[in-house]
Amino acid sequence: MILTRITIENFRQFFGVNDIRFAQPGPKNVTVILGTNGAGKTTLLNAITWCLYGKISMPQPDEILSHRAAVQLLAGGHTQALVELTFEADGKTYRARRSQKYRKKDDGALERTGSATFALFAINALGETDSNFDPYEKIEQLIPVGLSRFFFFRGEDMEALAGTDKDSEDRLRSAVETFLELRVLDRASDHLAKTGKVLEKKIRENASGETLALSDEIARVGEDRDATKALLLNLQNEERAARSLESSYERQLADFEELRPFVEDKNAKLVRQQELGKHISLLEANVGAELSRNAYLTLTLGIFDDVERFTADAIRSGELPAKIKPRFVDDLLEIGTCICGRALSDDARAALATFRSNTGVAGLEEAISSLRNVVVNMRGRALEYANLMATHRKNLISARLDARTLDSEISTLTNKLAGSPVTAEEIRTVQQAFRQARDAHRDCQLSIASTEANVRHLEERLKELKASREKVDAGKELVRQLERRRASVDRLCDVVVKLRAQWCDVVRRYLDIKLKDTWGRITQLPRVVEFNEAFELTISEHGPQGNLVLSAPSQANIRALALAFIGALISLAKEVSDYVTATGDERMPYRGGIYGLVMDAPFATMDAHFKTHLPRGLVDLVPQLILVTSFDQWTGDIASVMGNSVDRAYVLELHNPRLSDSARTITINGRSVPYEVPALDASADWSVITEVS
Amino acid sequence: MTHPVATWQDVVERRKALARDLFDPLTKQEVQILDYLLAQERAHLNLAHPPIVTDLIRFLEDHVS
Repeated sequence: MILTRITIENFRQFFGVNDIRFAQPGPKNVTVILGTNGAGKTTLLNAITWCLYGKISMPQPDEILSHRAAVQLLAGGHTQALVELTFEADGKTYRARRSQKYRKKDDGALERTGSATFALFAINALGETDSNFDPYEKIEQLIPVGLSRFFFFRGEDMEALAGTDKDSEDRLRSAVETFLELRVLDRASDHLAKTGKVLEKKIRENASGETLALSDEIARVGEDRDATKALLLNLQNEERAARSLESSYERQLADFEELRPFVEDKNAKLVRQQELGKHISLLEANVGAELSRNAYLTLTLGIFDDVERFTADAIRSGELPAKIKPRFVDDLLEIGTCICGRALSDDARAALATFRSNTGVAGLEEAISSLRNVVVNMRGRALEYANLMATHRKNLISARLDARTLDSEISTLTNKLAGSPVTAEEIRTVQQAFRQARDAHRDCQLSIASTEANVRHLEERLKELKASREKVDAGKELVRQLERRRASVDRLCDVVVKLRAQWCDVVRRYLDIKLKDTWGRITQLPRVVEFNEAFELTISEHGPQGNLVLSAPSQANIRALALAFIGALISLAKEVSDYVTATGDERMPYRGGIYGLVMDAPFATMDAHFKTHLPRGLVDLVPQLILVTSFDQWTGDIASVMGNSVDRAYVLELHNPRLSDSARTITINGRSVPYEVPALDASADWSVITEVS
Repeated sequence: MTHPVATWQDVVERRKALARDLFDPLTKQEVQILDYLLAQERAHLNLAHPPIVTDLIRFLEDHVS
């Protein structure tokens, strides 16, 4: 099935009529559809599955009609949600159309008018349509719903596909069963069993005497056999669940081995974090002590500056230095005689007294001189304090930066280790749970073996009883005929059951070969992948002794494995189709086909290796690739690897009532394209699809 | 007998071989019945309750007397 075009009208997030034409097989086989969160990427995928199967993967909404279309509809008016998908399959063009009509009542309430309608047309080269077939059966032939999840899927669903739980196994089993006649064979064995019972009842109705006793015994043993088979089925289910649980614990323990270096690294970092914490506390204590001891020095610098300025002003104004020593004047006045020996006159005494009063600043000069000495000393100490504090600060900042880096590294490691047992106690708990699960698994296997033996024994007993009754009834024509028919039915039932088991294994093994091939082509990683007998996808690596060791797959590995399996299915589907076309074998219930892939965000959480190789590998592997992705994922390696293969590109333009500023745009091929625009008049957002290629 | 399985054609051949081995002990009529039954099952694959048991008994009455 190669998608040609989709028209989406008023479906969920999409308002109005929106059209996408898909890139076709060839060197440019990629269609890329870009959108921001909430723009309708998953809705686009749902539009496809709703159109083909009437199903959507998201929780069932009240209505599939676009909210905006509903709001704009006038009372009494009619509208519809419609998805039309045109595709090529089986050498023909098909158009599938599903729609749901609505009417707005006078009170403003919306009501569906009838149920959703589905139509499928085959269109020939002249444009003539043919719908002379059961559309549901035709879709089931072209792309069975059991396979659709492999061709239209969201990135996060890929882990569910290749995980280790029972659901993953069931999905893979269902995919294989779809490729086989298993549904046909299951129904055949079921109907043969029912027919056998009808015949058995008829035989009993015509029985008497010894035949009746044997028939009663056959009925009793038959019931026992059926009950034992039902028990066996339950045990087999239990065994699968127990195996899955055992494998899950085993993987957790294997995870631990792989994660052990990270655990050790984290533990070392935690110790370092503790030491660093102590170091930081010590530095802070030192800073505190230094502050309480010498912080005042930072205040004194201002005072010293004032003293210096004051002194300089006094010198400038001539107040300093003192003109005369005050002691000298005091001595002159006390002695009353000049140094020349002459007695001081009254005028001279008065003049000296005046000098004396003017020389009071001499003490100040001395005080200032002494203060300057103190200032010089204190300034030295203040500078010393400032240097010391700068060193402390530098050390503290550096230690805090180290602590922050360490916190971030520990946080990264914690995230990496989340969900895995890391402490000795947790590991012991998992080991214990693993042993219990392994024991439960073994118990189940033993019970299955003994129950299978019981079933075989009861089957043998039934055969013996039936053979005895045949001998007894040899003379009665009607009973003899019924016996022969019943014996044929028994043999046929046996054949069908065996055919189912063997046929299933052949195709499983073939898919395993294809998986290995696809894995090598799209990942180029030297790992050994397997689709094993338990219908699980596994990855192994060559250990140091050359032996194969099961890997604990990372999320990226699981996604790559799922993609490789899908690639294998696509490749297989094409082979089946080529075979049916070449041989005209009409007996195959599933006729295969050429399938494209529609993927929503498949490369999220992948590392650089996968982002480089997977897109390239997929482009080469699948005939058509439709990639629905966010802008941030459509960057770097993926865009550069796939860019040359892109034929058509679209942007989902989100009209957002919560966006108050101007439109957000992205530049594609030099053109500025809006992807989120304000919608102030609306109460809920909606999207339209814009082609940008 | 094991067939190499390298292409879908091989898978189909292997299937035929398996069927041959299993069908071998069956009578011609029984193989006919199986063909009829599988054709009916395929034709009615999408029907929840096909009238196949009645059909099958009628077919048995015609073929296994």
